[in-house]
Amino acid sequence: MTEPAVLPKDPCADFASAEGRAHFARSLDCVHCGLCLPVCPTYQLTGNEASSPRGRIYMMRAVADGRISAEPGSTYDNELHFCLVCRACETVCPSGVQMEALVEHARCEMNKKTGPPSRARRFLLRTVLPDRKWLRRAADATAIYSKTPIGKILRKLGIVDWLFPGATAREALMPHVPKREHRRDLPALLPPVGEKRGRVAFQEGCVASQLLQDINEATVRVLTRNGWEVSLWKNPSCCGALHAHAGDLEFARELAKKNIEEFEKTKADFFILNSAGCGSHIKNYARLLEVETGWLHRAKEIAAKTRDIGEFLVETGYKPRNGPRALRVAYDEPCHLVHGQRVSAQPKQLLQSIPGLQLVPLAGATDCCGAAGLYSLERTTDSMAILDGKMQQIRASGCEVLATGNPGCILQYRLGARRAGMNLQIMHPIQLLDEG
Amino acid sequence: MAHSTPVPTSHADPVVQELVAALGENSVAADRDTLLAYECDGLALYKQRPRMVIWPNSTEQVSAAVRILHRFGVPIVPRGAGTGLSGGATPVENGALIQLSRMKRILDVNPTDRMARVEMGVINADLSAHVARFGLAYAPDPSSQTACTLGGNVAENAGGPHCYKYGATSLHVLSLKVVLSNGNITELGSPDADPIGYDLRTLFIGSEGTLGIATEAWVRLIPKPEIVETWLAPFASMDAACKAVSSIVASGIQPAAIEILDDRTIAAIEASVFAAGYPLDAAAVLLVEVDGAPIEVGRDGERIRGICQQFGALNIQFARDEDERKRLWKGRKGAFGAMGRVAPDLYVMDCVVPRSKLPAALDAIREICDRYKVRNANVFHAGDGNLHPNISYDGRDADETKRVLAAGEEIVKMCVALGGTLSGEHGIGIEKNIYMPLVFGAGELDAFANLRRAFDPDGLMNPGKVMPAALCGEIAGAMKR
Ligand SMILES: Cc1cc2nc3c(=O)[nH]c(=O)nc-3n(C[C@H](O)[C@H](O)[C@H](O)COP(=O)(O)OP(=O)(O)OC[C@H]3O[C@@H](n4cnc5c(N)ncnc54)[C@H](O)[C@@H]3O)c2cc1C
Ligand code: SF4
Ligand code: SF4
Repeated sequence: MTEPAVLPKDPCADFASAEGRAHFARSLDCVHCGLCLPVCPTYQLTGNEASSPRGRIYMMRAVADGRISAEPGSTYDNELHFCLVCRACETVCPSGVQMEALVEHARCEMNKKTGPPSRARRFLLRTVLPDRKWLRRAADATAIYSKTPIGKILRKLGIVDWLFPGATAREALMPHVPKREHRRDLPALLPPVGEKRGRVAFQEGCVASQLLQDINEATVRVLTRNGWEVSLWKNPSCCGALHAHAGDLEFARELAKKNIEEFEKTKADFFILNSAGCGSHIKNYARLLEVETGWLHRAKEIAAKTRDIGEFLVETGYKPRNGPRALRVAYDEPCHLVHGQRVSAQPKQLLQSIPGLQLVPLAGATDCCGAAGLYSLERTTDSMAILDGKMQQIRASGCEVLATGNPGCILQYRLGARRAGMNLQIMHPIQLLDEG
Repeated sequence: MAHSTPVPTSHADPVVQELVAALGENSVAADRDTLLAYECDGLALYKQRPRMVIWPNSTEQVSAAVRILHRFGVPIVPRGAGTGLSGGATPVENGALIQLSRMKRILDVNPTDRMARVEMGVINADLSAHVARFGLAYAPDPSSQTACTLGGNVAENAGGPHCYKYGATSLHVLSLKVVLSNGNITELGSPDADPIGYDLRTLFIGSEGTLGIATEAWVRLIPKPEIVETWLAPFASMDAACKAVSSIVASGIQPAAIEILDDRTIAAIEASVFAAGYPLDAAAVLLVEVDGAPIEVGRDGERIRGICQQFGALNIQFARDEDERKRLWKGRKGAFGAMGRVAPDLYVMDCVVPRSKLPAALDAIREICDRYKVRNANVFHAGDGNLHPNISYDGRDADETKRVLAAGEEIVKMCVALGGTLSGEHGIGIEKNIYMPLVFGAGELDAFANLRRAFDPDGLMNPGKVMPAALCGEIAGAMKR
């Protein structure tokens, strides 16, 4: 593809503007073949091409060419936000269309027209997620809200909905918040067990640090048991993927730079993530920072050292698990692992190496679960429609445990199991490998 | 439909109002952006916004919609997945699109009699995947099979690499449920026996949405072959590759597929996600597949290899296991999209010449494209002389687009002059309707027009497609008289 050499500084220069066309050039890869239609979860729901990758790109092009205007509230706007950024279309697209990049950019541009985001949204994205202190407060508040009478009173007074419009209606989505002692920060440096093979950096993640710390503990246990010294930093506590997807490219860039600096300080050989979404985003830092002078090579370097935990263990070799786990396990492939990072065989290989574990086939394993970052909060009906379809396939697989490697998906499936009344354990593959 | 996406609808249009009342709010759209997204199908050269888009979820809903449109005299264009490459599903001015994307149920599988009843929005590859558990498959395998619908396949009489042995769609559809242009529902053919009297089922297959809308069908399934072997033979010249094909066919072997890709296609594939390890230094590669019982396959495979060697093929690759086969096919199946890397737009042509004329036709295509300064690459079903010249271009460049169209026209005329015809499998649509008089005389065209009128007296079904607009105008004129 012929891409102009000079990219604009403005993270979301208008598609139609002279400099925005450089971003827009990515959409020109689309040859309108339609091969992406059937894999798109939103097209599967509606059968409407405006909700398909091809349709979305077509509308973006029309905006760039000035054939339509990108008004907030238009179908174009709606379809931009209906997209899950699951990237399933990228896997099947023979022309190498970069849907994620296109949607992030188009959303960024749309945000400028829609005006400033709601108080709650801005607070969540810019204050809570990047800061461990705030994350902890938010988790504490959620626990108090859902487990004590205070919540009831606030709800009755309407304060909750005033702060977070529509929040009480979404209470069923609220995840279980573990007790405080189960969400302690990990130490900044963890020594390897036995001979040291090298040092890796690890990030606990924003949501996961509060809700899924047991998975983080299992991850570092496996890493240290395999001879890796593990180095961590607290802040920024978030990679910025949620920001980029929401079109807040400016802040996403800031977070990316800070994370790069922190990573460089650790002097680690690798950067390990157990969250598919974070891994995928960090591997994309170079795209995010391509126009920032002095950052491109640093972004490329961190990307080259970034590995998903499953990818890493298979690549570098690992001690197999000793104790058997006689479980029927289905593996669901997180979008941002299989489509975002093209990592598919390794997690299955890990699972298969566990004595006694039976890996059962799962239809639709590479389809999105509907979690998609903030999507399940913002487009709950669509998200649940997608989730309920997935739960049927999971039920049909006859598994006892569903293994998947992304915090958002794990929380979504726990919700799905509750909704479907299923007695199903949802785990990260690393927890199955871990013997701690 | 369980989704919250509002489909804003322009209720100013009385036809839309009635459609919404009959089918529901979520089944019709007429807003600016949705209509825009439907401007074209797989052939992006021609664009036209529809008046509305309709998504029925049953035969009855198709019929109800058609009745309303018929009453208001609104032209109708059926649409499946919109992967068609001749503009068959391109909207017509002021016309409705009826898309069958929500009718994707596999209604019945009868493994004993090897047939299945399916809705026409079922995706081709989904059917084969669904019946694989019975050791069965649906034979026609267009390269777009992961996306295109069975309805679109029926309308285009779609073929695929393996149709060289198994035959195109028409040999695999037993009966059709069809909604006619006045909304009446009718059955064509029967799953139980060959039809008595006029075989309207075969007439309908390949009619490109001009005779009605197919909503359901009984289709034939075939047992999956015991074993499959695939050979990839690189040649130093296109001529040698084509001669090898002729020699294979003449030897009496019945391969399941014989495909040729030229050097420019190979280069595009190897630069894309479909990189399959095809040799970049070959002038052409030949992809041959044989299937059946082990003894037969072993013997034919050896003979094919011998013939290829005789014509100078070097480093022949061979695949028997599923993964290796998939790799060898991956490039071929992805050739179209890989061309998308070359320029923003792609024009995929489809024409046929007698097999013996393949080298001459290919030389001519290259000469024509070079003369018009357009970028061309070729891939084709060599077994039946079905060429797919691909031309990459930038649709925003008006001059280049004009040159593409001019080159296309010369290529079509050249194929006809060599004793070939307009289309092997992509259909006529709006791309080639003006060329119909090149291959048919006035008498034949007249017979076509009469036939079409018998099904669609008001000229509402996909008007302007297949037959030149001028002829359709004559039909309208004749009707007035
Ligand atoms: C990458 C690529 C590869 C391809 N390879 C092949 C190939 O190998 N062989 C081949 O034959 N084609 C091929 N095609 C062309 C195309 O996929 C086929 O023509 C296919 O049959 C179209 O199916 P569709 O569902 O997309 O139909 P559409 O494009 O939506 O429609 C095609 C035509 O069928 C009509 N139609 C659709 N549904 C119905 C219905 N239910 N009732 C009546 N009329 C209907 C439409 O009006 C239109 O005229 C390829 C296309 C692409 C993009
Ligand atoms: S598969 Fe790729 S090239 Fe084809 S329509 Fe989809 S995005 Fe465009
Ligand atoms: S990213 Fe996912 S939801 Fe968005 S267009 Fe692609 S396949 Fe559809």
